[in-house]
Amino acid sequence: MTNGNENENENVIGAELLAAWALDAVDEDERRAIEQQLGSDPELRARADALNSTVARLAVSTPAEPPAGLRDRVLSAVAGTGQDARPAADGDASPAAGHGTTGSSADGSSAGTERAGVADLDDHRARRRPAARRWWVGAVSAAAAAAVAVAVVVSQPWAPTGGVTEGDQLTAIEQILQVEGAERLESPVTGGGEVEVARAPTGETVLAARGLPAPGEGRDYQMWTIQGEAAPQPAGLLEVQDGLALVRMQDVPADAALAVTVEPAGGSEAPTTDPIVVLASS
Amino acid sequence: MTSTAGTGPGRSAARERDAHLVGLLRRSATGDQEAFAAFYDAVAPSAYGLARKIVRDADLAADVTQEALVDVWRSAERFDPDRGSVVGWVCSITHRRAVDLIRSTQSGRDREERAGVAAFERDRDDVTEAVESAEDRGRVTECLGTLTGLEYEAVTQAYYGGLTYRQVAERLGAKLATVKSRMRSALQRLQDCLGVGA
Repeated sequence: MTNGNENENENVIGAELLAAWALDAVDEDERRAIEQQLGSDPELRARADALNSTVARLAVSTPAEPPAGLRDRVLSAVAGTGQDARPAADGDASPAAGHGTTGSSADGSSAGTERAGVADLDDHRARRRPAARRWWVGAVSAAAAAAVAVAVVVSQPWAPTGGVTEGDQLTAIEQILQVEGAERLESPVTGGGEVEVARAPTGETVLAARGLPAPGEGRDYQMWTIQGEAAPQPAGLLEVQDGLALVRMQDVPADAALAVTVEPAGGSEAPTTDPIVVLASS
Repeated sequence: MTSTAGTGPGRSAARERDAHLVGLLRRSATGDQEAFAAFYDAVAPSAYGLARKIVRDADLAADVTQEALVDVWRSAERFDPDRGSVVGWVCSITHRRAVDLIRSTQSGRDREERAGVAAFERDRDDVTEAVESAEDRGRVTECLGTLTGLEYEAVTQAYYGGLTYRQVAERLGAKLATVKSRMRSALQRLQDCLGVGA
């Protein structure tokens, strides 16, 4: 297809990994990098769309009759779920603007959005137990995890634009706290700094960190959600700039604790160190 | 890259159906639950079938499908018809949900043994209101048959097995660069074979 190739060098990552990206076969960091690139590179975007169309043919080639109860479940979940009513003003790194992503909103205006459908499902699956200090206990139990795992959608819309301010943090947290039933948690961090979390019953959550030291060479801060004794679920990396970090998450189960660990760069599938902070509803 | 409009009358019927689905989705975006129910009926077999192929468990597949369709409802406003078909969009959301589940539970190891091989050998028996025609599915199978062994493994293990290209490389004992390039050549070949319009 196409003409222009003067950008080719810049686009090495995107071009090289685009097919893998279209197949959902890249890791989170790569996906983020590629989708950011797609937002600023129309030619790459066009190639991505073409690949997605091809992959879509694979996708629809395996239809099966859904179980009888599913229709009612979906429709009643939807009945209690609000919608992202605004157009995607947040560029293309944003989900759902195109293909291959779920509908997390990267701006801050959906504080009032109901997510009852997903929350119901979480309730349905979760064993409600505000576990005490044994966060990692269940880490080996993949089977248990399978029964409760819920994908947490994470975005750090502030990070790419360079520089989070404490004002940004405050605004984001306030937006969540306006939702009825929202709660605020905070805790000092082992090693310095503090983390503040605001979470709505809808699962929408904001995590803000202040005064965090750099994670160290070749290391990243990684977030986790923990439900009962199930294995901790990775919830994305925490990007720190000048000690500050701000993350928005969706679909965080109501009874899940949030934790942060220091992991090898790029993160781990299961925590390899003890958490430096754990936040749980009392 | 080809922009062939597709092959035969099946494609234009598909386009018509897609236009209908876009209409239902637009109405859904305004909160119209009746429209969404009709939308569900049209896309659920594709989404559920895909989820089941990936997670290989009927209950988990139903959960994945539910999560994905709630995502669809929530972000209905954001669908951009210039980017591809509605069903493709729904499936991409479903695929992500399914893959997230697999990767987070690390149950991939056991499943992947089966996924690659079984990818196109089953699950065709219980289709009733399939969104895609049987003919169309046959075409996909046929086109997959044109891939080289490594291309086929790379695509099916990634897409139906939920593996990353790194995991695929590890499993196949191939270099990362090789797997990446096989994924590229495989999709190019499929695109040419299927005559997919961008």
